[in-house]
Amino acid sequence: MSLPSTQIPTIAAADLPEPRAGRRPVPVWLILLLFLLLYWAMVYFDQRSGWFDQNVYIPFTSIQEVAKFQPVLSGADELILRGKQLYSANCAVCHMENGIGNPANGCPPLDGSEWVLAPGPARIIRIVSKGLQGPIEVKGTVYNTGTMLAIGDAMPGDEKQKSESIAAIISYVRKTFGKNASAVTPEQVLKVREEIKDHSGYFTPDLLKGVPETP
Amino acid sequence: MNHGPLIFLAAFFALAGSWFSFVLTPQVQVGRLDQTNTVPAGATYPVSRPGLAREGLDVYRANGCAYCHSQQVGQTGVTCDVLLTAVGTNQPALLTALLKVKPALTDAEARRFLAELPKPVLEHVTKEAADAAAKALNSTGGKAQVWIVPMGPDIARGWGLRRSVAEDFLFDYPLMLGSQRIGPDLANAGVRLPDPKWHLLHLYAPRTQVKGSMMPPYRFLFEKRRIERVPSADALVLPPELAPESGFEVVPKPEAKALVGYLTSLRADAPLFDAPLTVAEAAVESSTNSVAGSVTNSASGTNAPVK
Amino acid sequence: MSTEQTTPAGVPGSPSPGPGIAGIPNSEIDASCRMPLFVMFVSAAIWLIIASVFGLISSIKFHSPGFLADIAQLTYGRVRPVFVNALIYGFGLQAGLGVSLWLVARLGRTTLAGPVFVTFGASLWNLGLTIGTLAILAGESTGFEYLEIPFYAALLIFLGYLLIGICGVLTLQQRRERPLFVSQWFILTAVFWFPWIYSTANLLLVKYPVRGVTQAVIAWWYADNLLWVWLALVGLAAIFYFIPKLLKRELHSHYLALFAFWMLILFAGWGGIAVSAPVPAWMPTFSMIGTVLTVIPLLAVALNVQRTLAGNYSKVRSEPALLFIAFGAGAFIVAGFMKVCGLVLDFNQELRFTWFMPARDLLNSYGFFAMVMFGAIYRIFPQLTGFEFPFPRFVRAHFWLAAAGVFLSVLPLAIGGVVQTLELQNANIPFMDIVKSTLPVLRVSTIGDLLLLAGHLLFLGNAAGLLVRFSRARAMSAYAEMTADLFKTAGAKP
Repeated sequence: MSLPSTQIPTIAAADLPEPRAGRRPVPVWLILLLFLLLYWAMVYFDQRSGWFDQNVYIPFTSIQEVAKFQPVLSGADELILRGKQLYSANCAVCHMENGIGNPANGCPPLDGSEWVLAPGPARIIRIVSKGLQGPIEVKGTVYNTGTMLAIGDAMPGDEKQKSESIAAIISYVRKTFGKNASAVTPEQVLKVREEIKDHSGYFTPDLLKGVPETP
Repeated sequence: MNHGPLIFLAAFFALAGSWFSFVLTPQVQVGRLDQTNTVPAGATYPVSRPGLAREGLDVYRANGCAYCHSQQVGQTGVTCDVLLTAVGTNQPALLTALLKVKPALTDAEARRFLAELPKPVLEHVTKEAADAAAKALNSTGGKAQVWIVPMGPDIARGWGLRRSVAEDFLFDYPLMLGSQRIGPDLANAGVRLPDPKWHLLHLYAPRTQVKGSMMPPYRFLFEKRRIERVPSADALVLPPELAPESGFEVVPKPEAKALVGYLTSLRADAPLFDAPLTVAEAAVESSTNSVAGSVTNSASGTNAPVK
Repeated sequence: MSTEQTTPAGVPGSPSPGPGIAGIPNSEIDASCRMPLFVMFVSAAIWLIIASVFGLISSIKFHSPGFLADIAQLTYGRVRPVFVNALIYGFGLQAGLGVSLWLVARLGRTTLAGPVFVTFGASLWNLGLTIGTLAILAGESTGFEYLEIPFYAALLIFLGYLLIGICGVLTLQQRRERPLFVSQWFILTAVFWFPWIYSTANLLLVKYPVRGVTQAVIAWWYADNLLWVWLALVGLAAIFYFIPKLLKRELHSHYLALFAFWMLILFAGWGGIAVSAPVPAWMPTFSMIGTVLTVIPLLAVALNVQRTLAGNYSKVRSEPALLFIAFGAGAFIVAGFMKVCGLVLDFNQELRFTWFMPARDLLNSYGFFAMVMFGAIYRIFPQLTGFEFPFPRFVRAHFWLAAAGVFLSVLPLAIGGVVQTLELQNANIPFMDIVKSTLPVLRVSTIGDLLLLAGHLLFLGNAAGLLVRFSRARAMSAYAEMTADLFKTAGAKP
């Protein structure tokens, strides 16, 4: 039996030589193009990158441009925004973020409450400033077991700052839970606080009913 | 000269440069982002997805939905509109200001304009022009707002109100932004298509919901079973040519429900500092709901046209 | 197959080592490469068929969405990553590594270091890839493009690569011919490049995931480096080796090749982030800069190849392997320019989501890299075995099928993508109309896929057939050796 070596075509014993490379130089125009593109890259980076600011997204080109397009708040809007933050921090723990209150803990709802919907803020300023002790009837239910602390008095700062904080909270509450009822200005709150500054202890619903509702 | 180490050093520094720019720096800058606040309402954003939606994200990954759908909205520009919302007490002065801002109006047209508020006074102008016009109108006692309006083909198509930014993707793993739009972009699918029943039908038989769709039917996410006593509330309402024989119903498996929960949780339209946008006076709550276990997500007052 | 004599007149350099260099004869070098490269090339051919089949299935699903839709494991979202992974990791990287090892051994005039380890590494690679593919079909994909293989399988792939890569570096280190040819620069860099990007991507995305959009940035960086740096490095190494060698001319310029090398590694891995990506503006800006600067290495390579080929186009047509490699070189340039134009001209940020991008990627990974690998393997494989291919006509047939397939797959998709962009720009055109307008383009590309699959079957036929031929010859010669004494003593003629 012979090897069928004649039937299978084999490749020739010698193979092609390994390649060599010529020593010609890089064309000058290519180097020039490189530098041109590098220059373009610098300019492009300066114009488009926002200089690494993490808040600059295309199509904005600088943080100043982003800041330019921020919404401008009018006085009332800023007050309500601040009120929202204060509400979350101070009031939501009892009255809940959505204002439905916590009946188990004796905490009445604010949402749709007639005390919030009142035409004037006189009573609500008193409640927020000095606190409230029940029983208080809200939306047909009597809440007996809870006591509201004097949140307003506990606000940081002097009378002026306390009044601003209270006005912010009340404006937010009236807008969100009072079906867009009118906001309350810090001046109104200051005036009321001036009237009640000698009051000690909590307010009660009877005392409040003695206060006229109209502004 | 032994070039071996030189080549190694060259490769090392080249790759180190690109690694530094695209791995390390992004991690330091964007990888440690935390929740931010919407502007101006101050709501926390983003809120992490509810449990069902997270399971749905896993179904999305396992079935490779990202090979046909992208989840990022682009934006090519930003412009301003001026919206007049209230006349205020001094109508004559407002009328004069309005005519100054919009000289093309005739007197009669301007009066009619004031009767049909709220209406945009100027559209697609620069910020400076918008601010000036709003100031002029506000000073007469009327109420004019400057609206920031992002622009771009995706936004024009109703796929989003603004571009997607890093904060939109803070809590997702794995992040599947997609690289093809064989199907539409899904970044705001929860806003555009909030009805879970639509999604279930679309998964089972895409062409019943979207004519000419190239999407394959995902019937394996559903099961056909015998009706026991009463038809299930989840059973799909199918057209006659696809409905099962009498006595049988088609019910979504948990994977289908999870996937739909994920799709209806997709939204990226909250106004942020780095993606300024004015939305209609919606509730001041945060923009994603996290009602545990619920499959739906209520659409808040956004302006996306239905697409 | 050409059977030229050594040292034709007028060509600088000689086939045998010059005075003072004790080089190892080519036959010994080839013999040392046999076992590992058999495994790698035949496995690559098999993976190519797998990739083609899955690619064809994905392609059909576009115009018949119900095709195989009821089998969860064969849904488009699982079939597509299997196609891509089989093509890139199964065929691309494996064939690339095989060719690189042979080039390094031959250029250094030394035997391959540790062929057993390389074979074992290749087996680990294939095992990891098989497990990974099955995992993807079962729904265990990681979710990241080009990184879908789960961590446990990726670890096997990584270990396999390390074995192969270390042997490659050792081969380079123990070279007899000390001065380096440009291909060795490219290959050494590629060997080093992959473990870094692969381990970074797997660790930071799969094992210890980073948060939020950083995942996308790293995933894009990895894909860009894999497809546009690694494939480019190995493909160019083969191009710069085979074109001068097969034409029996010298490469036009050593310095131009090195210039291209430096520019490539400096800029080519920066192109991953698109303009509309949800990342701060500096990242897409960097990507734009990097991508535009890749024009320089593209021009450098184009110049070098064109001036080496100049006046020898008839010779190109006579040598099938050269047809593949020259086609690949052309595709490299075109794909590179598609990348640059695709980024620079994407004014409305929609082009990146159209069929233009898959077309560009296909032209790069297949039209450039796969074609170059085919040409290289068609040269190397017979060299290793010492025999001719069993079906020499198939080589040329494969080229024409592949060229037609690439043309039919890439060009319609690219044009379709541009049309898609223009339509997506106009919000009044409903999205479904745009989808419908891509259908004819997709049908043509399915035909392209069919042609490519046919070519791959020819390739596998030749590769497997050659392996069989070699094994049979070996077996016969071993038998003859064993029985020679028997026949001698018996007095009969063998």
